Amino acid sequence: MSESFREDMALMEEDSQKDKYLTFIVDEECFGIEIRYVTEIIGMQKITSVPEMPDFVRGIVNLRGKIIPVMDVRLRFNKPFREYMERTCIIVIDVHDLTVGLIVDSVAEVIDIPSSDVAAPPDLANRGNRFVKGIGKVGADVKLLLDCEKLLTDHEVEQLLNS
Amino acid sequence: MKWFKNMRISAKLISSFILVSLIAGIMGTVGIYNMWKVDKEYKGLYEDYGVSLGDLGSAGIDFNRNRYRLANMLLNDDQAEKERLANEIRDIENQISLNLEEFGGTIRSEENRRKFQELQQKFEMFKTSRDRVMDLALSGRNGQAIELLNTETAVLASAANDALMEMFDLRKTNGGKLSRQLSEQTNSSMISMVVTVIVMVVVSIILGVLVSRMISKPVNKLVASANQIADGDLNVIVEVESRDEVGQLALAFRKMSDNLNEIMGNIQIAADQVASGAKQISDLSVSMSQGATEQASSVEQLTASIEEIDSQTRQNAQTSNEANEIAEAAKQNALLGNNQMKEMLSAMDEINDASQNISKIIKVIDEIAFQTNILALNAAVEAARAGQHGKGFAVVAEEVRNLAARSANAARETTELIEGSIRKVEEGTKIAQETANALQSIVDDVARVSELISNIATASNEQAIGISQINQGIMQVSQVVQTTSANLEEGATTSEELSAQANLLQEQVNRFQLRKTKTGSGSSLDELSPELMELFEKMSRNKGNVPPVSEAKAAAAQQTKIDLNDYEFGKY
Repeated sequence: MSESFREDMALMEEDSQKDKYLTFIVDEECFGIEIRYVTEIIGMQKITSVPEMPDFVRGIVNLRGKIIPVMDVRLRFNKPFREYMERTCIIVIDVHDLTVGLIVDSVAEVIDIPSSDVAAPPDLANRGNRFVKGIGKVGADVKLLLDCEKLLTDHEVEQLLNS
Repeated sequence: MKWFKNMRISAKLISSFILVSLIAGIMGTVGIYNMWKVDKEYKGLYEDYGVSLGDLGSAGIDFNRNRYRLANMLLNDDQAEKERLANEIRDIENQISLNLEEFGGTIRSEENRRKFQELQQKFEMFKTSRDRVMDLALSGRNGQAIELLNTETAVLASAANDALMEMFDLRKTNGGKLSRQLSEQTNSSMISMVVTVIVMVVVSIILGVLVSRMISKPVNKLVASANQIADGDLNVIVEVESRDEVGQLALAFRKMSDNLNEIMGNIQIAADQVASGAKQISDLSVSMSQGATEQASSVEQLTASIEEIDSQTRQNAQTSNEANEIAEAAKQNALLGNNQMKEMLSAMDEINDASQNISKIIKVIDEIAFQTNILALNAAVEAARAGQHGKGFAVVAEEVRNLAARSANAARETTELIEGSIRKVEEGTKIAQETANALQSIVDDVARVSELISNIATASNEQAIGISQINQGIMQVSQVVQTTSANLEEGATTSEELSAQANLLQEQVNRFQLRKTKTGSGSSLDELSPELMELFEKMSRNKGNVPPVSEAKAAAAQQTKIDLNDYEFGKY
């Protein structure tokens, strides 16, 4: 732990938020998002469901007076739904001035992944939304780096904009 | 004569006797008739001649008496006397008249009647004269009387007398003639009677002989047949000649001889059967006695085996009792172990509870670590956002994260340990449960074993009882076998006796020669006996359906030849 800390320190000494990813686990797969999008990480809270929303939008939470819509990453990725537990966290991200909470199974760590360790994702024949921006290699593991902007589709943005 | 022959013997005898008595009766009647006739004749003779002669004689005597009295009258002077004499004369005259009338009653022929009338005339003439004389005498004229008497009366008297004498002679000769005639008649009748007697005697004798022969001949024949049968020759032919008692006796004899034939035949067959049966029995006895000996030896072996089994059973019972005690002890131990196990389980449960509590606390710690991590992450995010300014913060955040990580690790490790401990406790519990189950099952098994053992003990006891009973039974069997042996010996003896008796029977039966038409003797029956046995069984089943006699005869190759002669005629 202290090594990665030193690496982080080194990296952080170098530059700002670039190449720093917050890794989380969804369905036993490790995903990462850039830290610059991440506002906060909070534990599971009461979700008030809102009707007329897509499946993966579970509802809204009240975070210190702020209403944040939350989205289940599992459902977003068409993975089977899992009941929320203690370790289930909500990563609050800020995309285009839109605050959205991502419900993930668990949060791992903040990790530094240099660009050299990031590979392009495989070509999926235009299926899906190309959530995965790249594939980051950390040691023996592989972390799927997500594109937050793509995480939210257009009509969602519209909806959120409207709400 | 056939109808006579067929009369019953009593009828025959009675009719013969009746005939004989009739003959005798006839003879008697004839004799009686003759006697009666002779008697009548003689009575006639007597009356006509004897009595009449007597009458005549009396008349003559009286006549002479009267003459005497007349003479007396004439000789007498006494009037009284004369009257008396006259009365006497008159009385006597009456008497003479009576006698003469009597005599007259017996006259039969004309000539005699004429003569008698002459006599009576003469008597009348005399009487008239005499009366005159008497009158003269009575009136005292004896002299005239005497004169009259001497002349007329005397002549008349003598004439009367002569007539009387003539009559007398006539009568006498006639009487003599008649008597001679009667004697001749009597002689002839005697002769005829003698002849008749002789004839009748002869007839009776012939009749008697005939009838007796009619009776005795067939009887003798029957006697001869009976003797023949008695001597053992059953091949007799009985002739039936009549339908009287003798004929029926002959029929009965014939039937008897037939039945005897049949019976003897059957007895012969049966005797052969008995002989063969006795032999079979004898063989059987031998084999059975062998079997009995084998039985006895088997019984010995059995007894030995039974004793072995008995001792083993006792041992079994003992061993099972021991096992029972041991099982009981084991059960007690198992129960003890079970109890200990239960206590251990409860202790382990308490451990579990404590672990759970620890776990809860660890969870809290983990929660704290998690939150701290999140906090640190947030801090890192803030630090990253802060960029340059947030480096120190980033460091702090990193340290906090490290601490959180360490806490989390520690909590995790502790959790792992606790979980491990819990798992181990669970395992231990499981094992203890299993052990408890095992012990319980041991207890159950032991209980079952105990039960089984007690069953075994009971069964062993019963076995022992059973074996002792078997022993008794075997002893009884042994006794029975001995008895059987003895009985078999007796049976063998008896069968030998039976054989001897059968032989005797056969000998006795062979004294009889059966009817000659039977083909095959008794010896061939030995070969035929199975068929015969079958036949007799069949016979006893079809009791009345088939006349057994003919079937038996047919089976033994016996064919009764039906003699088509007169003797057999009436039989069918």
